Amino acid sequence: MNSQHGDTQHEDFLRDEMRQALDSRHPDRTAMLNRIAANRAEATRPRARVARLAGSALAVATVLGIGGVGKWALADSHDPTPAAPPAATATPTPVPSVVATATAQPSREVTSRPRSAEPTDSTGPASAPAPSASLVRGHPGDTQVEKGTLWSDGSIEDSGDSVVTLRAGADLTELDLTVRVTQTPGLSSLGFESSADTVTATVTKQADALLYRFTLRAGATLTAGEYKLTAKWSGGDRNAADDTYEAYATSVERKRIHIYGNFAAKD
Amino acid sequence: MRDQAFHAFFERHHKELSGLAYLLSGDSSAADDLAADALTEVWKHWDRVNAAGDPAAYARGIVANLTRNWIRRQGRARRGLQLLGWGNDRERTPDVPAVLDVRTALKRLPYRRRTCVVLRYAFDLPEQEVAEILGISVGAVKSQTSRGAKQLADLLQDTRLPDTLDGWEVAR
Repeated sequence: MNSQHGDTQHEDFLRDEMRQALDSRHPDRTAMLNRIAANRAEATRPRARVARLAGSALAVATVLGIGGVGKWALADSHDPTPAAPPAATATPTPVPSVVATATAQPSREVTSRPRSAEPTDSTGPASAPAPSASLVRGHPGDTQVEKGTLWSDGSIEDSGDSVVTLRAGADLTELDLTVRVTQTPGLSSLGFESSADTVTATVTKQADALLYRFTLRAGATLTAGEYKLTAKWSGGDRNAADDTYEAYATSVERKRIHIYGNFAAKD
Repeated sequence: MRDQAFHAFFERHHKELSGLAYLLSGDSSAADDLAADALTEVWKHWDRVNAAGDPAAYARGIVANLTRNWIRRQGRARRGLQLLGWGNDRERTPDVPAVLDVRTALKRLPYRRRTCVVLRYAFDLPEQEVAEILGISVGAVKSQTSRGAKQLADLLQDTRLPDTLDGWEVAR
């Protein structure tokens, strides 16, 4: 640069450049929320530590994956934990990051997947295979309908009623159940029903699903017994095969219980 | 309630934190992941972080750390591949692309310099706060920022000269 006022010229120029780069990009808010939720779930799940150890067996594959040949490398891997599951299926265990780092860090792999709105950077490392680490538990093949003293079942009773039946063998001091009704054309919520007075729900609409979140009122106890929690919706003849539920509960013995399942017809 | 407060914090800051990770990493989708991971850390330590005063500053520091670690991992993975002969050969030739955008140019700055420039210019943070985030002195922030700004401006202006400079037409 030439003159004495070079420095301020720099500053304005750089400020503009960087602001433009920021303004022309929009973070994926939903993806961020999902990742935070997954990180949180992982932090509370005792299996996470075991999974992390198991993950080190995948170290090589994961390192390859980052380099962009992961698809090839994993294609003939016989490992039961898919590193790059097809979209919309549930990963039985999210592949944990395997690289030791000095700072405390959540264990999910940070991945670089191409975004449609954005030209991918050809000089950077090739994009890793898109692990749409689906965080939703309870799909067929990934269920845990009973744990400890809590048993559950999901069923469609009338068209438009997704019912989760809970049978608690011991009192519950906490319950947080989410019923996920996947988005189909014309789907809308008709509210909920709960056979327990102390359990109420909120319904939120996401891009891909309606979420019915049933929670036990803070401080209340759900006494042992059978309860029906119903997510009501309208939307005609929709396919409920992708609908799932997932619950976290605490029993009176202070045991943490995590169950998840779906509404598919049982054999 | 903690969850509500955290949610409000998320709404207020997720864009900025993701943008910070984006400018530091140069990778748009990794940026969302890194910012989300940083926000998870904020959530985990919410009470302590809140008591300490400024959760946003804490979050920015975490973003900067996580991004640095992420970049190192990317580098390690790439070097590992090159050792095995699978590397991307283009990576080794130091060619200068015809158009260098600010994101690509930033990647050529050493990480600390890059962080100083981004925090000071893109986010207008005071030198004092940048120093706290990075754990270095205010003097170091000053010198890193000024060197970084100079280097970045040179990188960008090499390929994008204005049509005139001080009234003189620029030869192409």
